[in-house]
Amino acid sequence: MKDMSYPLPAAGPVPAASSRHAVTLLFRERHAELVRLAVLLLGSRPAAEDVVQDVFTRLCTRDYLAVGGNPLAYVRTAVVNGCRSALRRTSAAGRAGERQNLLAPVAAGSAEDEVLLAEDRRQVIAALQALPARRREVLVLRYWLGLTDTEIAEVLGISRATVSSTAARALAVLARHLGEDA
Amino acid sequence: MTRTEDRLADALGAAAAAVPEETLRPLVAPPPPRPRPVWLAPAAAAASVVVLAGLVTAAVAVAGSGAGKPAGPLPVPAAALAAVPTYYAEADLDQRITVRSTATSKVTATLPIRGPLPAGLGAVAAAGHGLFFAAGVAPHSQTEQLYRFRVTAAGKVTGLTPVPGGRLSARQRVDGLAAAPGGASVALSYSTVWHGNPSGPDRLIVIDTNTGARTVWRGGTRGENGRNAVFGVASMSWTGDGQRLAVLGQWCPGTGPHAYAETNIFCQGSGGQAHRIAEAWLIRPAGGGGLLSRGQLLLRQSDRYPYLAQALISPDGRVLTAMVLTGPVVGQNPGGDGIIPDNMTIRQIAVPSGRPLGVLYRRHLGSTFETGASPDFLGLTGDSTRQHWIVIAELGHDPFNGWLYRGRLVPLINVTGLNDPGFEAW
Repeated sequence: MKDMSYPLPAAGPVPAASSRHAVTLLFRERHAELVRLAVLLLGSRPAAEDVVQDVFTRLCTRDYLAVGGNPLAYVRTAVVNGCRSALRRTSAAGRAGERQNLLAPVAAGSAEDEVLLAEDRRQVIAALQALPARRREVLVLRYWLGLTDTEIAEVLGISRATVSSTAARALAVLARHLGEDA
Repeated sequence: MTRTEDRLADALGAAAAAVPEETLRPLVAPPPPRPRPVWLAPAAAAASVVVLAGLVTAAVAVAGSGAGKPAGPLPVPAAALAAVPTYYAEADLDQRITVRSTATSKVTATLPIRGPLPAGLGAVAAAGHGLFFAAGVAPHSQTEQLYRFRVTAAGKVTGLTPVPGGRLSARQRVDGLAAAPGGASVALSYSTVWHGNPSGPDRLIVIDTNTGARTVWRGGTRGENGRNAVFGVASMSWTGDGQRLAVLGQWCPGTGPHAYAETNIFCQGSGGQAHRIAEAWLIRPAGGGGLLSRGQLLLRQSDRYPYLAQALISPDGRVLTAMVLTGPVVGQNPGGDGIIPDNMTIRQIAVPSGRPLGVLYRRHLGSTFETGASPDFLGLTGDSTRQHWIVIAELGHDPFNGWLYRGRLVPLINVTGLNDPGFEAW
């Protein structure tokens, strides 16, 4: 039996795979997602790619499958933690400069619409980046990855109730920054 | 959703979309760990310094107890190199299917099919005289298909054509392939994908490559076929006449709520821990499908052969060449994941008596972080004569891949973790 799948959570038995293969395959499948997650958390693509590369390297040299349970959640946690470390290493001024290029040009119809939509998104991203790391993480995991509060709790290592309360507070702050009611 | 949530989701989606996948820096695998000191047995050391005129030099991993890393150049006689197949086919972990030179390991041809995603490698098998089979996915297709092709004297691929009856369903993933000499029949084992992961017991199909007729085989009645059964086809090989197929099956005991989940050589379940079971059977596919366990029992895992990883039949059906793991288990988590016996031998065994005939290769695997059903990534491939062998071992810190020459391993590919071999055939 040669099977090279990575052990995503499943109801059945964990399939056969070497640790090395599992790491490689998981990252091959999830590389873009993980980099995007890191970009949204860090606001910098080069730093995001560095974080994901570091996580990949570390997992290649340790017993990855011994993490048990939910390897994808484990890897996401590693990326989130890596982003926190990267943020700590980077100066606030530097981060602010890098974050300005997060959004690609949009196609929203007329040139005027494009400009308005781009500006709206920039405002939202700027407000998001101004949040404390934990709140930003909760919002990105919930509204971009679409994780449930239970899954977010697993990734961040906090309780589900904390996820809910953090998200509520983060949305309230975000709404205030954007001039809305959450 | 509130307007804030809508705007947030939209902005996050746009920001993420601004990171095109194709522009990402490729991941770089870490370098392999530094080699440990290698101790050579006196005889092996003596052999390694013999220099013969006109030899081809190749880096060789050292066989024998305590060895485990490439030990520098060892002369391989040109005659020895000439005797082994010039080219071999490979399905790697990048889902590529290629043909490589045995002498240089360089890719001479790449097939326009790939292993399926997710959860599939593709697979290759050799039928002798340059005829090969491969299971893979064609561009713009979603399902695996069995193909046949020939490798020319220059290492190029010709005549790549689908095999009748060789198309699998979207949920089926090929995880083993063996071609009868001459290619009249191909045996194919597959697992079924549920929620992105292969699950449930392996099944085996034997395909008549001329008519597309199939016979379907499954494990037995001792836990191999339960809904949650963990039954794997570890290896398949044909006798020289192409009439009999040897199958090594591995499974965990118990069924239903008492089924065990596989964790390497052990099986974990509600009833505690048990050893995984392995048996080699010889079946006659022409007799129709059914239970593999109703075939002739060739060899059973036992105290003498405590972990059977691979077992290939000789052309005359009288000898099994088996990859056997023995010795104390090693790993990070004794009694659970990460455990395999630390001595690997490739030995020949008379069947059905089980009498040992000799050892072709031995290697101390040492400490490894290997987990899961790692011995499934111990691969042994023989050519149609079963005289020449390729070994693949995807083992944590010490992966290796090469062909056997006088008890030593001549490396084929520097295994790095990113494009490692999954299947090789020659």
